[in-house]
Amino acid sequence: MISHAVHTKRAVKSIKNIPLSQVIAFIQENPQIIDAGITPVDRDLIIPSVGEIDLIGVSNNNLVMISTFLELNEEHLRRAPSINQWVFENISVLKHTYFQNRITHHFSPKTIFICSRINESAEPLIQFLSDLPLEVYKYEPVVIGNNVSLNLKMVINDTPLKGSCQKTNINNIFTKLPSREEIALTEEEVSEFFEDAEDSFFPTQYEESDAHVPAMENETFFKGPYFS
Amino acid sequence: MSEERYQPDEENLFLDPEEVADFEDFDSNESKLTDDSKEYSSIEIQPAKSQVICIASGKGGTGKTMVAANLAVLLAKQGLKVLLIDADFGLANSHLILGLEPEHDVSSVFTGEKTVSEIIIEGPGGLKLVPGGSGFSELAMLGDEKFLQLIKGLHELEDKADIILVDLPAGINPQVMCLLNAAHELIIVTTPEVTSLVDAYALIKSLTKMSENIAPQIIINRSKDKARAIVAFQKLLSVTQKHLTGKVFPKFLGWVPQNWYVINSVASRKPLVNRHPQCFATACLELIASKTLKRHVKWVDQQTETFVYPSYFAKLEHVVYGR
Repeated sequence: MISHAVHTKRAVKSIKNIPLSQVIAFIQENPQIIDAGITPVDRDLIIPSVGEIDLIGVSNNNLVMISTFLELNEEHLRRAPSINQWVFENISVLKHTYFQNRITHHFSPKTIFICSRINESAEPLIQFLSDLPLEVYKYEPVVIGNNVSLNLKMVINDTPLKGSCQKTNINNIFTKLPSREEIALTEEEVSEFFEDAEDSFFPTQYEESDAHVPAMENETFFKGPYFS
Repeated sequence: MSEERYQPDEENLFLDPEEVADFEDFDSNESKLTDDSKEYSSIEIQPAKSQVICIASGKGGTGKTMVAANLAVLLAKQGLKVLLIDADFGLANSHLILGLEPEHDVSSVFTGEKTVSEIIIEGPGGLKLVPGGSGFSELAMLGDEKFLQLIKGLHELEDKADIILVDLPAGINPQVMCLLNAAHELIIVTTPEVTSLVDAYALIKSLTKMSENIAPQIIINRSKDKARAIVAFQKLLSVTQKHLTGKVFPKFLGWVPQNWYVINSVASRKPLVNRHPQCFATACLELIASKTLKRHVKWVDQQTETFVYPSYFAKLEHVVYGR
C-alpha cells in the first residue's frame, strides 16, 4: 500500500511525505495497529477517520497515557527532564512491561504506527520498538513552514472522513488495567480495617440469626455416620 | 418441619434514615451506569438489550454463589427472564446450589462440541443457567480465542434475557477485572470478617483504577446479625471514603445471616428461597431482590428514555478484545 516505505538500519519503515489519505487507508487495512507518538493535531485528525486503532503517546503531552499503558509509575516520568532521557533510562522496563502486557492483558499488536512531527523525540522509542517483533512504521507529515496543523488539514480535506469514531481507545480497558503498585493496599488501609475489630462484636443476648432454629434431630442433614 | 413465616421488617433490616443517607441512595446519579453511558455514548457499540449485573467478591468463600443463585431464582419468580452465568469456570458450583445436573458446560463450548445456547439449562423459577463446569483450567488460563468464542455465544442470547447475572470467581485477576469493569451493575458480596472486608476493599480499589464514579452494591453475607452487618459495611465505607474519596460510592444492598437454614439448603442442593421460603435469610434475600428489581426498572427506564447503555458483551468484544 505504501510503496515509499523504506527500511532503515533499525528496520523501521519510515513513511515520509505520503499523503495522509494513504496513511489512513493503510491503517484501516491493518486493524491490529498501535499508533504511537502522535501529536494532538494528528490525533484529532487521524483517530476519527481511522477508528479501530490503539493509541499510545510519546510526546510530552501524552506521557500520562504511555505511563498508564506501560504500567509505569508516573513518578518516573516526573523525574525525567525529557522524553528522550526517560525512554533511554527505561528501555529494560519498557521491554518487560511490553511483554507482560502481551501475556496478562492479551495485548498483542502486530503493527506500531508512529506519527510524529517531532522526529527527534520519537527516536528513542523507535529504537526500542524496532527490537520488538512488530512492524514499525514511522510517519512524518509534510511540513509547510511551521504550520503543520494547517498542512494536515489541507491533506485530509482531500479524503472523505469516515465520520464517526469507532473507538477512542483512550478509555480502552487495557490501558486502564491497574498496575500492582496502584492496587496494592497500604499498611494504613489495612490497619484501619483491623482497628477496634477485636472489640467490635461482643456477644449479644439475642441473635437474629439464631431465631427459628428448628430441632436439628428432625433434619436428614444431621443424620448419617458422622452425626449418629 | 414447620416454619413460622418470618415477617420482613424493613425498619429492622435496613438502616436508620441518618445512616441510610450515607450509603443507601437509590436515586443517586453517582453510579457506574451513568458514567458508562457518557463514556460510550459517542461510540458505535450496540445498545444493551439486557442489564448485566456482575456479582463478585475479593475473597473466596463469602457465599457469593449462594447469593447469586438465590437472587436469580427470586428475580425469575417475579416474571423476569433471568440468565445466570457461572463464570467461575472450572470450579463452578451454581448448578449444585440450584439442584441441577447439567449434561454439558462451557468446556463443551470451548472444545467446539456445543454452542452456548445448547448448554443452557432451565432452573428453578424458570431461570436459565450457563453452567461453568469443572475439571478444566480456570478463567485466567483461558486463551483469548476461547474466551471470545464464549462471549460471542453469550452475546447472541442477550435479547433473550431481561437480567443477566454473572457469578464471577473470587480475586482480582485481569480477566475478572475486565468482566467487572464492563458490567452495568456491580454487586460485591463480603462477610463481616476483617480479612473479607480488606479483600472487598482491594477489589474496589482495583476497580477505581479502571473506572471512576463506581457505585458497587454491597451485600454483607454470613453475618450473625444486623448490627454486625452494619458495622462491617460502615468500616468498608469509612476506609473507602478516606482513601478513595470521590471515586467510589458503595451502597448497602442488604445483608444475609448465616444460619442453619442456609447451610441446610446448600447441603440439600436446593435454593434457600425454595427450600426454606419462610426463614429469615430468605426474607433478607427477598429484600435484596426487591431492591435489585427496583434498580432494574430504573435501568430500563433510563435505557429507554435517556441513555443508551452499551451491550455488555459488545463492550467486551469491541473494547476489551478490540474486535
